[in-house]
Amino acid sequence: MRAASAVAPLLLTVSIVLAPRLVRADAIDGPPACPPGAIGRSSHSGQWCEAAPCTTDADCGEDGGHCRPWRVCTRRASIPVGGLGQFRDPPPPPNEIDLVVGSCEPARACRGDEEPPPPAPGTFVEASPTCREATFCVPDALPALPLIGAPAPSPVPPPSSAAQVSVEREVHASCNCAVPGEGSANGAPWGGLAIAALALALRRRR
Amino acid sequence: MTRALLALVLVLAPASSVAAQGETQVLANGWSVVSRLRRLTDVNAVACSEDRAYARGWGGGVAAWDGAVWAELPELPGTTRGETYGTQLAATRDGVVVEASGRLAVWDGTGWSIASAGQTSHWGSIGGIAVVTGEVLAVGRGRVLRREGADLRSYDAGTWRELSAIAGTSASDVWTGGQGGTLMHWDGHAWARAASGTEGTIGGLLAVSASDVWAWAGARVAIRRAPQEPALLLHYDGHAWSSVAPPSGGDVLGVASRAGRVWALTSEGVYERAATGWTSVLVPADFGDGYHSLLGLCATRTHLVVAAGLGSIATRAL
Repeated sequence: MRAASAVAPLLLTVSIVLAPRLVRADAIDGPPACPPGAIGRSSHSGQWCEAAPCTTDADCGEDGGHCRPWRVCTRRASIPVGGLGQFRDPPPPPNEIDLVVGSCEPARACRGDEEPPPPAPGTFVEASPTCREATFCVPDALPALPLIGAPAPSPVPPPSSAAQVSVEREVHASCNCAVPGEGSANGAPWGGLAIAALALALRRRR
Repeated sequence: MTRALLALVLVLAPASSVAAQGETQVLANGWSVVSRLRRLTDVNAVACSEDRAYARGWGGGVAAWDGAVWAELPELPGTTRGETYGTQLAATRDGVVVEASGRLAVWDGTGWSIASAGQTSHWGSIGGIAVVTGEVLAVGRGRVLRREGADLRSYDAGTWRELSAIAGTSASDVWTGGQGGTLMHWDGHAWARAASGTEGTIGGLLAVSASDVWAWAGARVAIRRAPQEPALLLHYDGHAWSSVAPPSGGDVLGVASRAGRVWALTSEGVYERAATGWTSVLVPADFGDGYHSLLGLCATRTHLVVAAGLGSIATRAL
């Protein structure tokens, strides 16, 4: 009984010291944001991005975009085992995984070191990225931000203006901008008519 | 005569004042602290307009300050108390917009309206909110969200990164910031990446003018940063971003600026920028109980406002 009462504070101290570490070891963040052509992964070891190769769109799932040619750059990293696995004796060897560090359209011929890499656990064991061109799952491009302060674009354009909208989208895609109504083909005739009417009115007054 | 005066007071009172809520205490250094607001037991962020301030709690409670008294706004619609989470909010001209469990709730001075993106799981949560020329904008994973009536629409942000902050001064001057030291500038037509000189996550942005912009780690980012990472405080002068030595206390959780004056908030206090460094203007010990942690900072034209933890909000005249 006396031995038990002597051990109790020790057990309490050990549990208090270890508890945060154990709780932390059990926490898993969600998958991180990743470059196009990569998919986010997360485990007790941390967050990282892996290449998302594909052969058809079906390989990409519902929200995974489309299967298309893309250039993906990776670097091999040594990732220690996380979670409760790290407490094994002897500790398990780290995993080596090719982490995606950058990507681009093939024509841009990126090297993978132009920007800081996405979240990466462990340490890189390769000095520089290795890039390859293949088909990967690439998310669909989002529309360009409309002019701030302008009226919101109509979610469902009326049928009569459908052709007009498709032409505008094509123009905006080419300049990577979105200016609803800018340079509208409808605007010029009305402006011209207004000027003509004003000129006519002034002439009549004279 | 007395009756006439009493009648006048009774007639004028409801129209000219808002009923003060909570308990107010004045600290020795001039700060006024309100606490015990019913639904703000956990104040985690504040936002200011020219003349008003707003505070929010984890559970979705929002309080408004009209320059004199704090009063809680009605419960967010369609939510159960304690189930509306978020830390983000931004002041509009007439009210406030707050993050509400992945949606945006907009208070226009008379009532709440909700803007929702529908399916949100594939792009994560709202990282930051800004009101630019009357437009409500927010950021998430690799996207800018724009409030369009009851919809929250996604637009290209020029990056796939996790974005945590947005601020702007005009339709052609909007900044976003996020993971990997990402800083993107919108000139009204396209996004351009700016060199930040850091790989740290940017969690807060304050755009005072096109040539006076601040970026910092922010409370949400600071909690998750590795201890060896240097504290992050950047300034843009219209040409380039440069690092600024932050006040003591590690990560900068907030920055406010008015009339050329600049204040920064760290976990150790609120500091004003001076020619020789930073001068302390509020520390947790000022509250006298040892329990207050400072989480948010903003400035109206006349007052500094601080989210002071334990359901408390501190204000002081500039």
